[in-house]
Amino acid sequence: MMTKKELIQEFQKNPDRYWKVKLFDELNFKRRQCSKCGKYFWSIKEQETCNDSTCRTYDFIGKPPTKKSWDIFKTWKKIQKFFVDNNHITLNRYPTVCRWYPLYFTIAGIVNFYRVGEDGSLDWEFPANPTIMLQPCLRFNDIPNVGLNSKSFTCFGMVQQTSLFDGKNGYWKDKCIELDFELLTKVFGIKPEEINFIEDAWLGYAAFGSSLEYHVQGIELGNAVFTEFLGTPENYREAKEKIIDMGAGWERFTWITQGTPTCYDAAFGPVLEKMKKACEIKYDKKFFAQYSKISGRINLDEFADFKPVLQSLAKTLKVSPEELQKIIEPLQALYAIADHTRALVFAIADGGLPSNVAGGYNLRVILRRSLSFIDKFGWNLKIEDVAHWHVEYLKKMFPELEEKIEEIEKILRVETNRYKNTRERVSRIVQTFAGRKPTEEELIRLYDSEGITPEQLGIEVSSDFYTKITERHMVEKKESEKIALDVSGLPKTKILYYDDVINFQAKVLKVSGNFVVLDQTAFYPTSGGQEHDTGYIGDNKVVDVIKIHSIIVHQLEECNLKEGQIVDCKVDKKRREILKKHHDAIHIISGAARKILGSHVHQYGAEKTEEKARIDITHFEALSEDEEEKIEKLANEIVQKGLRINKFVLERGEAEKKYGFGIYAGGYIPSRKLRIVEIEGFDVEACGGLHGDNTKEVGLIKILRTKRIADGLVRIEIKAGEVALEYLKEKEKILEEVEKRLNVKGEKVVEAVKELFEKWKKLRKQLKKMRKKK
Amino acid sequence: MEKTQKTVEKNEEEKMISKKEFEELKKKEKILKKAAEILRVEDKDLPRVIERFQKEIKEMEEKLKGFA
Repeated sequence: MMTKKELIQEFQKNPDRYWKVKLFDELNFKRRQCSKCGKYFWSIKEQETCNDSTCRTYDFIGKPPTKKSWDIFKTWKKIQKFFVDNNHITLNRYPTVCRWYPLYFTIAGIVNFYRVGEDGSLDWEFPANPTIMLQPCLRFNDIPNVGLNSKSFTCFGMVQQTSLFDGKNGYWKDKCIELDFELLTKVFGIKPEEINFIEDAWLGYAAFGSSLEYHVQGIELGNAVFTEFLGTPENYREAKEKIIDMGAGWERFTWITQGTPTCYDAAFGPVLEKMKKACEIKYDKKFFAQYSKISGRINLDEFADFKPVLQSLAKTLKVSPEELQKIIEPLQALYAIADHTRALVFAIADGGLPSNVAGGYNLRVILRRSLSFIDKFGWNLKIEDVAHWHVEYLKKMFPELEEKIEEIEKILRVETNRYKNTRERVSRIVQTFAGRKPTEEELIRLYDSEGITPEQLGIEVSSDFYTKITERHMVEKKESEKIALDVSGLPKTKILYYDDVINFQAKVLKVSGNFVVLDQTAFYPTSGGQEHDTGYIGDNKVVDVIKIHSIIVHQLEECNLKEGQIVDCKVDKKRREILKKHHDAIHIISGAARKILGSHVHQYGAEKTEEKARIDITHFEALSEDEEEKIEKLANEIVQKGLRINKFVLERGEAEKKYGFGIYAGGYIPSRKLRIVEIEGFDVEACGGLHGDNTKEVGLIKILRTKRIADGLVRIEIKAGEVALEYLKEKEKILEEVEKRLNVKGEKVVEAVKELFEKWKKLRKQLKKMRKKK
Repeated sequence: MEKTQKTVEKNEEEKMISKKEFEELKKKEKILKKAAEILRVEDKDLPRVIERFQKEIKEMEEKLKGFA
């Protein structure tokens, strides 16, 4: 597999084809090579280095190259106006918790428009063309640099410029760079000779292309990606519709207009001032500005050990490394806390939850890292206060954050208390290592199992420690396919199960052992947590049904079928009906839980079998009996109301517009078209499962038990319909038997069992005593 | 298959219980659960365990009589 570096080298064989744009000719930009990093770049001015932060200092600090100084709000307004004036449509932001693509978080604006085909191919769908949006993004692969190099964030606003170019509509490279250059020069007033374009490439999932990063005085402000190839560099085709995917740093644009020592000062404004005041931080501002100018060379992705970097910076600033560390450390910690808390605010408001599972893991890492800093410096600072200050500052642009502030504060309080509780276990754990330093693997295990950070144990770790533990939790793992059956060359199976077909005829297309593929089928394959149908194909019993891409494979107990044969098929209707009811019930419970517990509740996993169903929801603590009662009560009210259950297919964009992102509460579905299951007036989810037509058909829903199965995850087990009734009748029968044996009725049973037990214990004690005496 | 179809239809009728009946059944389930928790057994085993306790109580009482 070709690396990004190799792809750039491949493109460099013909730089004019991939990077040269009209503007470069018009303004006499020349292609040059950086004497420090070796990268190629285009600039008007004759210069040795490329303008990247690792090759030069942040010269704009204290001396911004722009016409005016703007805060984050004004900066966005100016950018937005420019693009709107140039015929772009402004899009509203998408949630930071990504539930429509196999990623836990929205890592870039373009992710919102990815569509994955059943064969794994990548496609794009834009609500308008061309567009501009400000997308808050979350990334957890750069945690050690946050706070340290003046520019890295876990949560940042991406200015997302997109254009789909099909030869007629939209625009391509020339226009994109012309617009970006005009934005820099005319709107921000940056001199053309200060702007360098560095040659780069983007090698993504199933698509790639060249790109031009634009840098000004040491800071990369944006990167225009020209996606024109589909597939991999080894096996690709040129796309008919080419994509402009320009992502620029909202905070960085603000920073360059203000020339503050760090990007954090420009991005967080009054929040940082309040934090500095609460922590009583005093420092030499002039010295810190000098440090900030050269801090761009820090990139802990390249240096696992910060010490040599610190020594080099100290040497440049003519102080000892110890002195430098003493000055910068508290500020770096403060910047990291400000960033991490803002990330938590957006994530929780969008349905994320710090936990030990999936994406929640990353949120817990940054929260605990922040709490560790507060501990280390003994600050009187509460994370929920910082969250509140962020919301106060951001609410005029993101009013949805204010609506969720109570939930955000509550979750942060619960998590902070949980962190404090782990402190008590720290001394016991320290003893188990008997004076030796735990290995990195042991520290990762401690964090995973107990949530204890190395800082809590007073242990210094390599700067990439948090990167190592979070990278494992960045991408949702795809379930491995159950069988290895070659289905290549077979046509897509015609699906009949959405039409409630039970009896049907089909042609046998392929037989391999006990596996059979038909031209059409009404057998539902196991998917979305719903178990497969059973029944008969001919006189062969169907024991499993699996979907491989768009082909449905039936596993038979024994197989006497031949390819080409026309065969009668029958689905087990009783089992089908029960599975449908359990699926309806899970949607109802999911909606009820969200209404009772809060909007942070999402489905993490679910299973619907003939016997029972379960849903694992994201929630920060075990359910109380009262909460359990309320959820069950509401769920049964919905059943009794007899709400219609509508099932229909919508274009993803249309579905999102109509119902919002709550449709992904049941998990991500990557396709371009979504099957929507709507319980009228109560719940709407994208779902490929089988459902009834009315909630009344469910009959009743009984919660069997709820259990906190992991940090941030609660399991609710239920039975629905006749299965629930059979269960309750069975319990009634057992109780009757108990009543008969104890000769009491109803609530008196509990007291009678207690008495029986006490009597038994007492007699046993007496007998023991008597035996001893003897 | 004929039989299966009839079972489905019968169950469709059965499921329509009133709210009151449902609450009554839930109450009974709770009582059973609480009683089983006292003896730390699964509720389905409760009658058998109670029978065992009653039997053992009788046996112990007789043994104690013997000691007396």
